[in-house]
Amino acid sequence: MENYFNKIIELFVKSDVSASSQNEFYRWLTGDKFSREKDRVLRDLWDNMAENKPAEVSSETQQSLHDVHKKIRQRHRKVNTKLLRFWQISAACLLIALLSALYLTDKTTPAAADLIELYAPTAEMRHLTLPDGSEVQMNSTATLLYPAQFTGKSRSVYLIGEANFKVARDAEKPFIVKSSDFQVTALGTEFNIKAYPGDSTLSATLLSGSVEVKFNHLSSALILEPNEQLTYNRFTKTESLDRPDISDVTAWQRGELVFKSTTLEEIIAVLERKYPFSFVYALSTLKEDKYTFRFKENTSLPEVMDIIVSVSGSIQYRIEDDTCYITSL
Amino acid sequence: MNTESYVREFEEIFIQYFPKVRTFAAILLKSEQEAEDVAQDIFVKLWEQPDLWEGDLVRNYLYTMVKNHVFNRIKRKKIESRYIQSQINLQSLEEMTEFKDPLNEIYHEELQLLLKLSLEQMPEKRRQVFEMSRFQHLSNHEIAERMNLSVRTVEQHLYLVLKDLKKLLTIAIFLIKF
Repeated sequence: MENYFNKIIELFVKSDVSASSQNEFYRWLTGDKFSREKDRVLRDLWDNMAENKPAEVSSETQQSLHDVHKKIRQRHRKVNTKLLRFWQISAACLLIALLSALYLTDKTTPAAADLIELYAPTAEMRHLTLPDGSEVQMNSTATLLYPAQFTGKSRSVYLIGEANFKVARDAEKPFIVKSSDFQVTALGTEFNIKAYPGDSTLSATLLSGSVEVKFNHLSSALILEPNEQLTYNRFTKTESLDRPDISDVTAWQRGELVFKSTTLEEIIAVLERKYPFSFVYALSTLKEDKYTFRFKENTSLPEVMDIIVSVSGSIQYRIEDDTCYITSL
Repeated sequence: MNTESYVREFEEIFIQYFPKVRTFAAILLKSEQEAEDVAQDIFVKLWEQPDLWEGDLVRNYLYTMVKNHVFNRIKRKKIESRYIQSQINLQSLEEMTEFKDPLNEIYHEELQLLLKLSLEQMPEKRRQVFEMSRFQHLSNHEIAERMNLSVRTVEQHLYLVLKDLKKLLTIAIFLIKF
């Protein structure tokens, strides 16, 4: 008697029904009686519904896809803490892979992928145009490895430290920046990556366009939206997604120094890269207090230190030749 | 599979099937918003199951998923099982439609629902006349007075309703009978 079932579902689907009919229909539909027959009708209905052609993507579907990516990302933020140990192992593996890749290119396959190394020394920045026209601004002590020609299916570069990328558009060849803990894939876009080996946190910030951040683990990929910053803390093993002030993120490119609730230890790590001085201090003299500072471009080290010392109230400093000594007051 | 092709493959499946899943949920739930929620939840889950992403497998999986999600939502709505005025006994149903069948007893619930749904398809006045006649058991005269119609018009309405119902049931039964 499948025609009854057919007819009922057809009538319900094709017309506006009253609330009471809707209730009665639902009770009937989800009831246990004749569940196989009802399932067969529903499956027929499903089978006869058209699928979408790839070329015809409505803006509603685009919006839904966008929402779904967002939900996936939120879900992964919850799941990811479980994967963190895996992260670190993969980070180590990546470094080894990177080093051996370097070694191999050096020794055996010079023609295939000749990597060029660019190093921005302490207290200096470097600007570079890659073979595909993409532009890279490198912060002090950052190292970038890139091929003389992008010959493969993607444009891959390796970064240690901090750099800003303005990627030339090439939809066929995604641009990939690999760093110790994650890799960022972009088509045509601008973003900033900070991944210094000694720092407690790593971050990727998207300025425009769209990028995907992959944490050296297959199932944990995140897609960033403009102005979003992903930060991973190597010590607390947590990650967070923020919307920072973009002018703070790009401050270093203009020679400015911006610290947002940062410990003195972290501040000194940045100063060590920015200024041609060695810092000598005992960790015990630095408290865990966090500070927020903003220094204009071309601020000298004594000017920076004067302010830090007076704000902290617990330390003093002196500069001898190219060494800066920090002691408790 | 690297991340890039993972995302690309997911998006291809999304574009092909998302509208279908959404529409299927919408016609059953009769709510665009609920259908969108259901479809999005399903694809968030699908993201983590790349081993299901191939043609027939994904089609079957999505059907099962969308059906379960829709049924769960329906059950959560707490459908009251109140008996409504349109409940009529089997005997009068058979009388009305001049259609007697031993199977009618088994499919009593289906027949009731079919009757209720098809009545709603009919013009308002016709449906009112029918309900007064068969559910409230008013005479054609009484109906004519209440509705401000001639008795002839009332008779005409009733005739058309019965004709429609008979047609509906006969079509529904026809293939099984012969």
